Amino acid sequence: MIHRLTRREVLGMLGTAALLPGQEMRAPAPPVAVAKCQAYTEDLTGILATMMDQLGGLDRIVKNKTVTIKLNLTGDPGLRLAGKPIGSTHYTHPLVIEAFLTLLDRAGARRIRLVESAWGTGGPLEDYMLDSGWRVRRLMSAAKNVEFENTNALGKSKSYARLKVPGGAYMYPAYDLNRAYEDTDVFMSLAKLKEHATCGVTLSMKNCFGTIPASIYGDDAGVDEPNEKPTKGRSLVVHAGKRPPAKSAPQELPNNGPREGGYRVSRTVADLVRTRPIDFALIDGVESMAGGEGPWIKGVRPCSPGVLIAGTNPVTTDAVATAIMGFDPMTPGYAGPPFETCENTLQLVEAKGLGTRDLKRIEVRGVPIEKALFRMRQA
Amino acid sequence: MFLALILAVSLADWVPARWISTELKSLELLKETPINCLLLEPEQWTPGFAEAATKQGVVTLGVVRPGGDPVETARQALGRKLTGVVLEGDFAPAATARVREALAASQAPVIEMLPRRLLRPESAKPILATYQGMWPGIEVEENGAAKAGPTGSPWVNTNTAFYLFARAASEAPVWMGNLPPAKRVLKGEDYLHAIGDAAIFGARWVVALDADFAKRLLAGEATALKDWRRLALHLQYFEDHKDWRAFPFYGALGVVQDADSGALVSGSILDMIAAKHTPFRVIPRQKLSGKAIGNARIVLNLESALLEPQHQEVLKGFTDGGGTMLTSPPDSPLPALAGDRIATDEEQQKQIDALWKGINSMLGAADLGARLFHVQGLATSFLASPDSKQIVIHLLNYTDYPIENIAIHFPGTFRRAKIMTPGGPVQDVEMYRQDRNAAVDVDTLGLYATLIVE
Repeated sequence: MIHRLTRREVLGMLGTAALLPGQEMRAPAPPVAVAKCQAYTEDLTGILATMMDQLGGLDRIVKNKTVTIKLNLTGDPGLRLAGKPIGSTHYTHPLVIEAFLTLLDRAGARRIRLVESAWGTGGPLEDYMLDSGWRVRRLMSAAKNVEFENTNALGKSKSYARLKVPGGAYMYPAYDLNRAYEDTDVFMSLAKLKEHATCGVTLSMKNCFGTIPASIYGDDAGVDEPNEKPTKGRSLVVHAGKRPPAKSAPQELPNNGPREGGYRVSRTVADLVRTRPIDFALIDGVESMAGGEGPWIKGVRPCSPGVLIAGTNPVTTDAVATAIMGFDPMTPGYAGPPFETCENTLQLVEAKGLGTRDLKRIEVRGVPIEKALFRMRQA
Repeated sequence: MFLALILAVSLADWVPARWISTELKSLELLKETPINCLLLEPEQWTPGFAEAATKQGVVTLGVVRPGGDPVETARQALGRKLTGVVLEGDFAPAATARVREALAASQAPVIEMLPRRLLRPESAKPILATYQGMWPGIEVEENGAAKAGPTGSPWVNTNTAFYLFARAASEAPVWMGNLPPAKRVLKGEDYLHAIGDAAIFGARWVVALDADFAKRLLAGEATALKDWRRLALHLQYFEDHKDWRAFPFYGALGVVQDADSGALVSGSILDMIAAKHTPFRVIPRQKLSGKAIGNARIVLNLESALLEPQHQEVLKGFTDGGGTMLTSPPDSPLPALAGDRIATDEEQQKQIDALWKGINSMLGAADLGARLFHVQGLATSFLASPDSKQIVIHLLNYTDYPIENIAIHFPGTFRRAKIMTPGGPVQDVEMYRQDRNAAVDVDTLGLYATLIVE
């Protein structure tokens, strides 16, 4: 039976204080900004600027810094839902990126690198974006020193960065990632507001599952060394545990967990967001899809939540986003929507002290959750 | 003699259709179309209709099928004032020869519309025609989803490989006489796809309407008339640009393959390369020469087991001159035509998968004349004017939505670009530099457009 969150329950989550276990109490609880935006044709730059002000300003985060932004460009660019442009369903919309680049530039970012592990290719990210119907020229001209890196393989670097998981890993002790994730001052996740067939929701944290390169963690990853020309996705290694990553990378920790994605991917994400901490999270929920993360999921349909969500902590940001989607972020893994068949990544990272998912502790600036509520399961 | 002269001059300009009526008033439907050649079934052979058509400048061809005496049937067609005959089906060469001999004195045209496996493109005349073709469109799985092809994008069923090979191997006009699929509701766009599928490669689809469309059209139903006018508009567009048919295909990749090694099979390597929107030219083995290779930088040899010494010498000269050659393993023959099957089946797809991966990996994003982006669900063809100063790219959209923001990059220097659509104005398109390339963006593609760069 699916439990749908009622408005009363949302208000209850916000208004009823409850004692929290000690570790959750210690978890940071920075504020989250929420704005309504019904269409990409609205003044995105202005809306985002207000949100940044609500969060204390972008310049304090990015001035004179190298900023790396992980986008969500999941799945082959040729796959559309109902003929809609992919930015209107399952990719971060290019106009949101463009507007955000403008603000980063105004805030004094020295260098901005857009990154994604492009599905099924190690080729240039610009080509992948062009194949997605994006105007790369517009992105390049939205700010000074905009660069692109496909992190599905080595890209422009000569070696991978090995990033260790601090404070006890769930799945792998360390991850070999494209150097763009290490060689940066600021790391941002510019995600899409979506449900996820494997992990319940995909927001700023799940977006970072896409940091791992298919050259090492992909279905056609090399056995010993990375395959620098990956052509497939990443189901066999992390999701299903049917094969190990390339031997050159740290191998999976011993565990007795189920060999299925709901357990393994959620835990891997919980590792990754501590391995490569997210300094700023922005979630595009202006238009999206309900029922899953991409057109390949049965039953997905376009929807228009009409919302943008941002924060300096991915856990609080994703918790607010989860609530806006009509779910209770406090729902334990495997216990109810949207985590019926998976761990709750929010819970996993909260337990590691990364941030709180308790809405009672999170200040929402701008539009309150109940006014931005968009029940995904009813869309 | 006079008839022969007229036919010789005009035959290349025949725009054929399987006609839907023998009512004289149905000829009115042709008046705003370029259709000037009607294929008529035996029950449609009436002198009055044929004469009225002739008076209107429309050629009539009687369709003769196997069974019975083809010579006698062909004579009946001419006896009923038809201009000539089309032998459609699996005719033995001897039977065809008898028909030609019998009609020689009348100088009436005899066109063979054959199964693909019987086609001999190098000697086809006066027209290279087949009735076997893929009905073009995005392949849809049983659950209604677009089927992803070996390229990862939605797979478009087309006759691209057939046309590329046929045009390379034959000097004759190419006709595709396939019928609309039965048991499927067709939209007007489906017919435009069939027209475009052939026309962008310089061939002609023999217009054939499904029974429902024909009935509604003859009854004068408004939506049918609207679809008919769109169909006419697209036919006319390609007839208005006949010069493109004389343009050679453009691309720095040459693929050596011939009919006896599967070049006429749909869904095989040639179609896979085309699905990647890689500009390439087919070089039939029988025509392999230094001239045929031309300015190709890469030659993909799919004929390694069949090449004769003189062919190998040509390829050696190519590699000695700095060209790159990719050769398929001799022990991996490509699917061949068999029986009525014209496309690869699932088992054959698996067999050529390894070869395709190798080819795809080697070609990769190699710059072979043009790189196209955001063209999933499209068919494309690439032509160059004989002086190489003009490149013509046809873009045919098989999806049921407009495609935005197509980007096309060309190596080298091009200064101007314009885009044309059937019934639309010619529009200049901004040309800009992208790294070392000349680049053009197509803002929105409806069903069809032609991009010309100079």
